[in-house]
Amino acid sequence: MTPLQLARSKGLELAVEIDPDAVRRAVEAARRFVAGLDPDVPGPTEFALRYIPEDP
Amino acid sequence: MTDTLARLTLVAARDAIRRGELCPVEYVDALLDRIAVEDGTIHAFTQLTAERARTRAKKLRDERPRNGALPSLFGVPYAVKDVLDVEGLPTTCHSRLMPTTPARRNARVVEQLDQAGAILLGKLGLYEFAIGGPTFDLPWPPVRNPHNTDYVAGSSSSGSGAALAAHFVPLTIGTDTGGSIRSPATINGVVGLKPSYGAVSRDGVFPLAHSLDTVGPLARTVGDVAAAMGVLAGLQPRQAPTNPLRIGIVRHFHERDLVPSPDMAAAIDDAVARLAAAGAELVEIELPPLQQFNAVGWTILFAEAYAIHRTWLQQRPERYGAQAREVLLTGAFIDAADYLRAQQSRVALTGAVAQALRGVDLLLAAVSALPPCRIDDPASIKALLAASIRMPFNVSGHPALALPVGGVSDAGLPLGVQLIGRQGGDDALLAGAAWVQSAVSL
Repeated sequence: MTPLQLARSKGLELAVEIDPDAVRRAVEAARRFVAGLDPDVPGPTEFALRYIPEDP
Repeated sequence: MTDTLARLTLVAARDAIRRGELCPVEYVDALLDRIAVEDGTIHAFTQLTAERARTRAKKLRDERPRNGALPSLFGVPYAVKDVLDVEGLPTTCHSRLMPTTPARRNARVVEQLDQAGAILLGKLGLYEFAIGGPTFDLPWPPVRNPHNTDYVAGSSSSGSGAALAAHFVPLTIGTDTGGSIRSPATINGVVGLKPSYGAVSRDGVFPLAHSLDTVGPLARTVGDVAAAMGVLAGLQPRQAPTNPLRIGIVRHFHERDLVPSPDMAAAIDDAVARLAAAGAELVEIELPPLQQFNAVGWTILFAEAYAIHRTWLQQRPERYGAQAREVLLTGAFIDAADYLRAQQSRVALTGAVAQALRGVDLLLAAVSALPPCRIDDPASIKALLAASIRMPFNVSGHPALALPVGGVSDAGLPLGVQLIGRQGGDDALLAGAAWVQSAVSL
């Protein structure tokens, strides 16, 4: 999915119409910050697999 | 006379009013006169409450208790960032999107200051919704730096910093989600405290990102900020320590994780040297890289901000200024799993800051690797945001106080550092900052 298709899929058609370049930059910024997260920290999936609910 | 009154610190004005040497009416009139003359170029205020302030000052003068203690900020004027609700005034957030109907009640912080006898002079400009940058496509012009009006006044509580530097008021309230109190404090050469997360009420404050937002005071001295925190967080005043402090210096944020400008690097080195000369024991501290704090903090900020703005961004995006719209859209492209991963990483980063504080009284770090830039230079504004060293303590929630270091940039603008204290130890941080301020004559 292209950045603009992704934006449209999230109901942001009007924002795409106003300034598609800004939408592309926003997608790029989000990817950049998420890529900077520490890969060694257990992700939510691993966290969930290790989670043992207390027996009531 | 107007100039003399305008330059009084909060504590000096408060004490003069207590002694009966300064009348709140005369003081308010002097400040309003100054604002009328100078705010046409600085644009610190979005809304001025002149008549309301005069009426309240007269009421305080006429109903002053003859015997008994006065409330702690009796007759002290203040102004708030225009994200705080004030009964009878619209909360603009510096945006076309906000309704023009007036707020029905005061933010808790406004209520606290009013109960303490303070006098509201008005509401202050900011970056739209406390994010983005200075823009020229909104109904209010961007706030300019009183030290040089060609320069930015800091992000995002720009009016809260500029109003102090312009001597319009002795106390302002800002908000800090990724540095928005500390940036305008240092850029305008004043003092600003981002309190411990949760120490000051956010009731009645338009949010940016719930798990990072803090509300705090800016003023011209550490003592003034401490006096305000007495009201906002119920802190008891503490004397500055008599013995030199043990201070952890976090150099790698500006020296290795970023590339500092020579004037900024020299100003920080000079401040550290003066602390050493005053007897401080200095310890080099290594925290996780700045980029880790930024990745975690901005991922959380964008996701939480988008949750607030999603409907407007979908239905009325044209109402935003270009900068805020683009930045707020970022959160649309962060998924829940990444948001949760950022929150999990936050635990380890917070622990690292807490661990670093175990062996020292406080930490010292740069607020930015670059000095203030021109307001008409978008590339420099972008670079200035990227050179920010403020997010680590929003991520960790520790209290952080920004103060000027006395030096100036090559362009003559103020420079500053931040001091970081233990979680919930805002009173100890303020006492330590008072020592730092006096020890090195900042």
